[in-house]
Amino acid sequence: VRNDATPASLAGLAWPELLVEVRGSTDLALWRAAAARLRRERDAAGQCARRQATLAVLASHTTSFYAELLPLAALSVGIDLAVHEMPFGQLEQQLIGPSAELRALAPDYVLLAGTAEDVVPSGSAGDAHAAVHEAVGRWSELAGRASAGLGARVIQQTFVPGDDEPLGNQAWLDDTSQESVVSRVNAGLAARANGDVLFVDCGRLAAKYGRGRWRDPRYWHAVRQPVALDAVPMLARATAGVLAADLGLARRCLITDLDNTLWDGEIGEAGPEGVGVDGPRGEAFVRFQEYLLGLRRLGMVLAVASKNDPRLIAEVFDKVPGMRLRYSDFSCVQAGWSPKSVQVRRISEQLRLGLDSMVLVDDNPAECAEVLAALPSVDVVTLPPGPAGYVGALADRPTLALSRATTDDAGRARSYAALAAAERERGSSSLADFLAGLRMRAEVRRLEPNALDRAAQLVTKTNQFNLTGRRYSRRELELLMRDPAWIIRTLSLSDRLADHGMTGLIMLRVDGATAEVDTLLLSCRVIGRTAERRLLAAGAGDAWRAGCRLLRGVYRPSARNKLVAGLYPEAGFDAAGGGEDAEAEAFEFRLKSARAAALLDTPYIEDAGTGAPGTEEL
Amino acid sequence: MVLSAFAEATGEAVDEDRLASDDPAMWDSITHVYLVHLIERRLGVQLPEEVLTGRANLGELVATVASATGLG
Repeated sequence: VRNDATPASLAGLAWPELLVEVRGSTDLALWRAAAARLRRERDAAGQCARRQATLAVLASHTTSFYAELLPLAALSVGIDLAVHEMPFGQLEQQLIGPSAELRALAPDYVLLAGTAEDVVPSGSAGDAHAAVHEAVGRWSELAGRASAGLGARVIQQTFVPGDDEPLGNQAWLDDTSQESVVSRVNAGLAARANGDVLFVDCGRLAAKYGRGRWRDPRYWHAVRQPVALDAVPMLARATAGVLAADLGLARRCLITDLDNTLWDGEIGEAGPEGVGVDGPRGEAFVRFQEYLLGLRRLGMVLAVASKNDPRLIAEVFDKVPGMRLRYSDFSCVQAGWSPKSVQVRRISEQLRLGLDSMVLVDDNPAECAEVLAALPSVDVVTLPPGPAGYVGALADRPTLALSRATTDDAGRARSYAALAAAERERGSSSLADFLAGLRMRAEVRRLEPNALDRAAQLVTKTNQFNLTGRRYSRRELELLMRDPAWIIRTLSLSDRLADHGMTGLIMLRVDGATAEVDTLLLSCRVIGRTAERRLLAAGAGDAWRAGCRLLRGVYRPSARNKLVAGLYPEAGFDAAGGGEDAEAEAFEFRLKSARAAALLDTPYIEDAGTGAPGTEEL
Repeated sequence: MVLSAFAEATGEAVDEDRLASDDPAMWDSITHVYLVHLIERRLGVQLPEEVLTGRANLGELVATVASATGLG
C-alpha cells in the first residue's frame, strides 16, 4: 500500500493488494506489468470481480494499448470485463447493420472513440458550422445504432482538440478554431444523448495530464496512436470509473481516519485543544475536509474509524476553529482501540452497507495494510506524506466515480445516519415497539417520468433486498412504464428520524388473470421495516383492479439476497414449485376478494396521502 | 539496456538467436512501439521517427540506440 510500487515489487502481491496499487497509480510500466499478470491469472483475479460485462471498442484509430489495459482497469472497480477491439476505422461498417461479429458478441457496452481529425475539417477551407453539425450527426447516429441495434449501453470518449492552432492565443475566441469546433461537437453530443450515453471526458484528462503532451505526434503518424502511451492508464482508469458508476459499483461509504487525516496533530498526544487546521499546513486539511463534504453532498456516506477516546472526538469537531466537517456529517463514528478492520466491519454492519461498498482513507500505511489483509474487499487509500496531496489521492480514484446526483441522493447520507440511530435504539425494545415508534409514513405512486432516474438507480444498484435481481436500464424502465401490461409502483418512506426518499419499487407483469411480481426491491436503508408489505399490498390492489385473481412471486437467489428468501411464505404465499430457471422458487397468492390485497399490508406504516395504494377504494 | 527493455516489453528473455532474427513474428508492432517507448524513457533520448515504423531486428535496434545516445 505504497505509492512507489514498481513492476518488480508487484510480483509478491495478492490480487486485492495489487488492485489497490492500480487504483492509485497511472504509471504505465506498473499497469502493463499488472495487465500481463491478469492475462496469466485470469481465474485467480476474477475472484475480485462482482460483475461480468462485455465491451466492444470501436474507434477511428489504434486502440491496442488502451484495450490491453481496460480489463485491468475494470477489475480494479470489480468488473470482469471482456474487451473486444473491432478493426479500427470501421465504425459505420460495424454498426450499420450491425455486423455479424458484433451481433454475435452482443456487447453490454459499445465504446466509441474518435480524434479531433474526425470532426475538424482539414485545412482552413471547411465551414466550421457545417462541420459541427455533421460530426454531431455522425457520432450520435453511431451511438443510436449501437444502442438500438445492439441493445448496448454506449460510452463515448469526448473529443480533444489538437494543440496546433494557427491562431494560437486567439483561437479560443474564434469559432472556426479546432478548440471551438471540438467543444461545440462535445456539447452537441451531450445534448443529443439526453442522458442515454455515458461520456469519458478526455478533454479533462488531457488538461490534467498536460494538453501539450497528451499526444505524441510521432506515435500518431507512425501507428495512429492518438494518446501518449504514458497517458493511456489514466484514460483506462477514467473509463473504468464510468463503468463502475453505471453498474452501481462505485463505493458508497468513505471511512476516514481523524488524526493527521482530517486535522493536524494527534488528540492522544496534544489533547482536543492541541490539534488544529490553521496555518498553511492546516489549510490543506481544510481543503481536504471540504472535498469530503463535496462527496457527501453527492450522496457519499461518511464514517469515522479512529483509534481515539470517543468522548474527545466530538469535542474537536465542536471546539477547534476552522473545521469544515461537523460531527453530524458522519453517519457512523467508530472510535476506540479495536483494530481498524474491526471498526470497519462494525460500520458496515450498522449502516448495512457491504464491505465492498467501503473505502478507508488513512495516513497510516500500517492501518491500511491491516484492513486490507483482514477485509480484502474494502478499498484502502493510503494518504501521501503531506496533507497538500490528500485531495489528489482521492480525486479520480475509479472506485469513487459518482454518478451525477439525483434529487434523492442528497437525503441519502442523512438517512443512513438515521438508520444508525434507529439501529442503536432498537437494541432494548421489541421489534413491534420499535416499528411502531418509528411513526413511518409511506407514499406509493405510479412510476412517473420524473422518478425514472432514481428508479433506474434502485434497479441497478439494489442487491440485498431484491427478489429477482433483474436489471433494467432507464430506457427499458421508460418503455415498461408506458406498457399497459406492466404495473410499476414506487415507494417513498419517511419516519420521525428522517425522510428516506424513494426507496422501494415493485414491478408486476400482467398476463391474463395472473400478475407476476417481476421485481420487488427495497434500498438497504429501509430494510426490516415491513415496507415491502406496503408495496406488495399496493401491487396486489392494482393487479386486482386490472382483473388479476392470482399473484405470482418469484425468488431468484443471488450471492447477496438470502435475506429475502422467506419473504413470500412469510407474507402468506403458497409454494408453487420452481421458477423459470433451476435456482428460482415460485410462490402464489390468490386474490379471492377485493379485500385480499389488504391482507398483505403492514400495520406499522401510515399512508402519506396522494397516490397511495388505495386499499380503502376496494 | 535495450535487451532488458525488450524483456520487459515482451515478457521474454533474449538470446543470441533473437538478436539477429529478421522474423517479424518475433514481436508484434504494438510490442515494438512499446519497446521504443521504454528505451526512450529509460535513456531520455528520442530515437529517429523511422524506428517506430521500421522493422529493424534487435541487433539493428541496439545499433540505432547506440548512435542516438552517442555511444556508437
